[in-house]
Amino acid sequence: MLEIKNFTKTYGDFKAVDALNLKVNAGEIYGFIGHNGAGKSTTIKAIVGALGFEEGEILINGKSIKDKPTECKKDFAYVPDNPDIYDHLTGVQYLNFICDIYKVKAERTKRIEELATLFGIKDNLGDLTSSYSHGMKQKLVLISALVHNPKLLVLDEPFVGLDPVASHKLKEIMKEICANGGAIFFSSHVLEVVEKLCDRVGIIKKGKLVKEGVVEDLIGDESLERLFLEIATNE
Amino acid sequence: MNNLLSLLKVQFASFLGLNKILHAPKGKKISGVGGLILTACAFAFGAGYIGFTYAEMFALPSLSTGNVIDVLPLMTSLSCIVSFFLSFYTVIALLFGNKDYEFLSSLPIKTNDIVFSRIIFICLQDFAFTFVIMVGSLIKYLQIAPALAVEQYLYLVIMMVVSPLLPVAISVVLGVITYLISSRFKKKNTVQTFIMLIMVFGFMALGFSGFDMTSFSYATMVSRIYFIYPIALKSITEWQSLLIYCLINVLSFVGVATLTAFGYKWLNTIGKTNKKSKAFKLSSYGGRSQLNALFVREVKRAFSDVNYLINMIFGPILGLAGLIAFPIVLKSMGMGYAEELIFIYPLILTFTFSLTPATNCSLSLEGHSFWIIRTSPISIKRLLNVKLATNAVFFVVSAFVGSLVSTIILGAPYYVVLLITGFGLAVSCLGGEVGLMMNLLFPHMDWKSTVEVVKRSVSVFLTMLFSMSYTGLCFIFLNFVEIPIVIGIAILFAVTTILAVVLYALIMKYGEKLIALKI
Repeated sequence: MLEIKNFTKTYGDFKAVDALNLKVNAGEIYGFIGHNGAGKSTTIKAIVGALGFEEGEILINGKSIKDKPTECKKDFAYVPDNPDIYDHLTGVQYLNFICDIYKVKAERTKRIEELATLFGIKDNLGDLTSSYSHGMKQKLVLISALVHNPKLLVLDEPFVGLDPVASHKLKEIMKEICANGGAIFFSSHVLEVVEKLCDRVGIIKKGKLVKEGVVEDLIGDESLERLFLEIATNE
Repeated sequence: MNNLLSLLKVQFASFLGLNKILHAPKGKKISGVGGLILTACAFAFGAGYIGFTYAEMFALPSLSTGNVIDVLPLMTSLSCIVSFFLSFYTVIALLFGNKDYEFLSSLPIKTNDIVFSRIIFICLQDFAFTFVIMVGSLIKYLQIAPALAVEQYLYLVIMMVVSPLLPVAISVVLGVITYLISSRFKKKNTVQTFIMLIMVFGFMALGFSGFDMTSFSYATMVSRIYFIYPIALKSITEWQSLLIYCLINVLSFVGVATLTAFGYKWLNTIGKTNKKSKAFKLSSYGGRSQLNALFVREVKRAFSDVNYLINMIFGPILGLAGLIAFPIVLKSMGMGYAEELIFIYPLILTFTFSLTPATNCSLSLEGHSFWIIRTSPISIKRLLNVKLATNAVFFVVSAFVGSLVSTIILGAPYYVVLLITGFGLAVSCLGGEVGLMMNLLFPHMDWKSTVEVVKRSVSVFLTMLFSMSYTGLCFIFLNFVEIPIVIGIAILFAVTTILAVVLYALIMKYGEKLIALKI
């Protein structure tokens, strides 16, 4: 579903990501972890086409994000770490805009209603998003990401700002998407969630993928937190 | 006091994206600094030239009476009126729309300091405007009249320093009243926009009420300015007048700023308290095409932001008014179509329809939410086309209608009607493209209030510089190249059309690359 080949991103002389290779298969939840500034957000932004890059290749469903960005973008949805959305639109106007962009025709209203009810913001959909709290904006962005049934979900810190109920529901939805043949690539600092939720994990440090594999194989009898701390403190 | 200075420093750092430019990587820094220098030159040249030429015009009636010195307080009054018009609708956004207020209010800083810093910053901007206008006026004055006495220079400096205070105080009062009224409504942005539009055009109508266009002279213009803003008269020649002028300015400013600062928490709470929404009922909705959805998004953005809307529609409305008024005034003076009169059309069209196109900051207005477009299945070309189309709705349509109706009323021959209308279309298209190109070259995505991009960004100033320069070039070409006016306009039409086509092709070819490089 997602394949990153030799991806390298430099800012001037600084190598933010260095020859990154990884693959996320259909039906898989992939956790991408690392300390602040390790290169997680750079990688995610390159995957979703928000950041150009010079070296390497990123393939989504076999299509290159560099060569066919518009085609690739039809297949995934992205949730950024900060839910900056259009302040001048109401919640429902924003969702309808996203549906228009992704050409969601069939049962869009039903789908919006279902998701908004699930995340508990149905009654607020008529309000301008400028009046939303951070958590409500995060929920709206999540709904907009799910409303067009993407094959791949790319999430950057998706649990930040969510209340426990919404967090739980999101985890259930993530599992459901994978059970239906989709894939999820997400970054998080909440290692307990990553450990419980993910099939595979990649740890990035100073732009290099230093560990990758099935969660159980990587941590053994230890916890993901312990493994992460070991890697983070070892120079 | 230290807090106030720190807050002013932070605001200054975001002015024209200054701090970002100064801390950008080398390549971007060079182009950013270049843009800044050009912007400063555009501002100094534009405002200074306005001061210079208007001082010349208004000095004419004073020359006969021997009171040429009166032109200086007159120009101060004029700059106060203009700076009031340019800034009063931005007050709400600057006082209540800054996204950093919550953060600042959590710091050990008095609310008064936050509010004072915002108001003082508006004053500093208006002062810069007044200063440049007055320098231009003073240069003209010294060309036509004897030098001022030493104390008169001092009076002039004092007058310039205090001049922005009263316009800012009035702006704040009007802004607060509008904010209070609109906060009572659920759709407060729409109500705010509506009230501000009424005020802008209400003030314009008031300023011209009872003004007979057919008996227009510079003397009547002078009396009109003093009718609107009478307090500056004699402030350079009589110290008593200057004292009254200073007292009115300082006291009004201190009073309004203090009241606003002390009532700010209350005002802000009222404005930020959302009206409880009724249970929302989701109705069935069929959807739009991608292109249509993008277009509607742009239009909704324009109508939800009073700064953006007024800045944008000011040119077309002024242009339409000028185009329609021109033949009517001529006819009322007993004049009809004459070929030498039509040279005015390219000047009106170029200046009003390319000065503030919607595109000059529409990319910057995407701000931090630009990720939505960048990660959606929309090609950048499509996005840029939609931005140009939105501009066309406001500018191209009004330029077309204005020039067509105006030339028909004037009774111009059909080929002149076609030529002027064609030129209007071409120049409004070119203006939109120049605005978009400037915004692609100088995007300003990190803003806390839309005022930062709509009124204080490099792309906006450079587009204005283009508009003024192009108007100047048209004027020079039509006046100094000895060819028939119709042929001259035909050449300008051809050149403008070619420029518009070439620039469109450049935007389509390099737009995506520029976005990848600059944003």
